Amino acid sequence: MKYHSREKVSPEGGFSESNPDSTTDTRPLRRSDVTVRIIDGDALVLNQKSGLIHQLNQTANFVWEHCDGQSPIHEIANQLTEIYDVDPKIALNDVTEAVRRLRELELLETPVNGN
Amino acid sequence: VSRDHGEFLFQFEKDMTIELQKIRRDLYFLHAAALEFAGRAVLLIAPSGVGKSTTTWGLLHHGFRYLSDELAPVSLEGMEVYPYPQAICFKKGPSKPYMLPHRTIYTSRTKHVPTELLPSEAAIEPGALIAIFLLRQSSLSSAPKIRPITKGEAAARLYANALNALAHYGHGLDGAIEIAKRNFCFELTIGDLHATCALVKNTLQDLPDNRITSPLGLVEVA
Repeated sequence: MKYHSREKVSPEGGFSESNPDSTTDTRPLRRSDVTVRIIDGDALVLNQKSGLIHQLNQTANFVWEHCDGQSPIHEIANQLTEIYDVDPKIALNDVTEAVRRLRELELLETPVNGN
Repeated sequence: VSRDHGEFLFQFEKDMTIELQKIRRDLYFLHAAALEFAGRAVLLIAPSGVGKSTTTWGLLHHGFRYLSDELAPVSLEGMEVYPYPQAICFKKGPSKPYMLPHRTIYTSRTKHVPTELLPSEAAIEPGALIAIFLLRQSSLSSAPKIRPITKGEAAARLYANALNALAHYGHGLDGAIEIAKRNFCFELTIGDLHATCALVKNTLQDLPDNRITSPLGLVEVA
């Protein structure tokens, strides 16, 4: 599955491979081969490959649900701002951090560079 | 071939639990201690070494009846816990006044108290589940604490202790959620054993009579 993002350029001008979410234009895509259940507002995400289960709080779940491969990080942050009435800067930081954590937990598709 | 009877017992019990899971695939097997109090079953869940057996042993001195020490077979349909009354197995012995009986069996690895030596009788019928305590360790001399936890947190931690999750629908996640949703769930930070037992008992006595039996209401996201 392709990961919809622009090419990312590191501050030095080289290609950034270490942080695929280094720009807010990145369009993260949640993995489809995991089992997800919602219980009282929390999401439980079971990664069958790793055998690990993750509990996402409401904000993390909001970000996870919006990781559709179409919405860039800044757009997800805008929606978070509208719905939860939070400061836009805080929302952007929260969404960026949530995406970073979701990727660290291998719950997002691996980016395909240049797509 | 086992090196000694301690290792033999360990392997034998492991084989037994695997065979049981094969025979009763309908049951949701949890790595947990189970006790009965006032006609209701409770589960104690903890990583190895936190104090599950010691807390179980303590509660048996305070009006609880024994269902199991290591293995809790749960019927998801009836939300009942079946007894699995094997000897209670300790890695470390509890402290005074909860000393182990003289006829405790000592192996190279563990200490075993047979069910006939328990301070209260073992239950022989399944018990209707009402509460789950997820144990956390702190200083054994400190005051114990208890806090209700969300159904999501409880379900995640139940799933992590499921032994035959793959035998159930949704990779076993739905079973863990059902247990969490239909029972009261707490995190218990254990402390001094007597105070811990009193806290568990008081918590159960303060529960409302009507159990939470809301339907699952699961939503598929992915």
